[in-house]
Amino acid sequence: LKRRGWVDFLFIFPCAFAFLMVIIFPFILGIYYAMTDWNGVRSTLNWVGFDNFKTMFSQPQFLYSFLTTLMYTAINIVLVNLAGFLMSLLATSRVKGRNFYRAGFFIPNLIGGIVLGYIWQFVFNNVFYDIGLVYMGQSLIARKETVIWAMSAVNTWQYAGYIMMIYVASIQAIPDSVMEAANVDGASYTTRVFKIMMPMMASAFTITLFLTLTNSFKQFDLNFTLTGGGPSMRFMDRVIQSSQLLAMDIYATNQSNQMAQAQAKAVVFFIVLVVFSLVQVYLNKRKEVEA
Amino acid sequence: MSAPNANAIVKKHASSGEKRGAGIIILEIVAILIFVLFMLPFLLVILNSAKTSKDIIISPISWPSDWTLIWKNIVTTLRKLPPPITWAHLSTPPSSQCSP
Repeated sequence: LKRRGWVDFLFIFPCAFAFLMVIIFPFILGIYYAMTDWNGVRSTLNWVGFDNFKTMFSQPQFLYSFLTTLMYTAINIVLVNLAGFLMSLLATSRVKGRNFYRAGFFIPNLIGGIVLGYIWQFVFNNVFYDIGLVYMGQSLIARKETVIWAMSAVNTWQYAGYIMMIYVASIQAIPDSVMEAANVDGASYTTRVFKIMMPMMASAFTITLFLTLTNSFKQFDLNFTLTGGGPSMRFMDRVIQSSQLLAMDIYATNQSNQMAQAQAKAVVFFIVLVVFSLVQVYLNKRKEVEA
Repeated sequence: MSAPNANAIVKKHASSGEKRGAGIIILEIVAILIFVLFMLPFLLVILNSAKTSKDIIISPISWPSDWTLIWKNIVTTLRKLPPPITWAHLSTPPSSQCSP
């Protein structure tokens, strides 16, 4: 048994070592940096305790980014899941060429957010402008009232196909006999969807809601290329970037050589994301048991 | 008593089958519309890759006048690519790389 233990250790060691060095060690080091005044250049670090955390909550840009991220996440959870679910119903119906549509709906997900961001920036600023799809004479990504909705539309376009695939797999796992029995009993299509399909897809909803929540909360690439954080606006008597989400705010703070401040924001970002995700998974798992 | 009921069920299913036929046509139209919506940005990219920069700004949704431009644009893009990184680049000190 003792010899077996050594063999196990040898097999686990490379993976565990990589995990420690790439995830755990930088994470702990990051928490330490968040409590210093490190600017990324100076070699000496001074301990400042929770000063960086106190400062960030008095910054209008951080507070606005936090609220915008919450709003963006809420919008995307609804839009992406609704679009994905409806598309999955379409892709599992008796429509001709449904596999072709399935592949087509999934294509935007194959292309990176950076490229999509630039494509959609062109679409919003040139194509939509040309056909008159504007708000108060300006592009939808140039107005603070519409920019979050424009970003959400692009994110839904990109991500709905992926979520659709998860729903399609879940719908296909429902036994045909159950749906046929409901059909013979005279259940309408809506009744079958709401009373049979959706309860039987509870575990798929847990996964898709978790994925959309975390991906929307962490959104960076699309934000960076599509809007660059803009347009500017006034908030708490300061000029701020109206579409700068939390991840991009951390990046902007880092770019201004406030490494410790950026690190403190990243720690808060991590805690909030973990809490939200755990609450969501807990609530969904409870629903799964009820279903 | 049971025979009329069975007939009623058969009739009901037959009529719902007809309705579903119409429903499927509507679903197919919806699927085509969504598909076009999903593919539109990619189509725009292809259309505009066969235009000059000036034409793209003037009319981003128009059909290209000369499709051969697509090849010229690809060749121009490839010519602008930096030379591939070789072992010689990595082993040469940076100071000597910067010299004219």
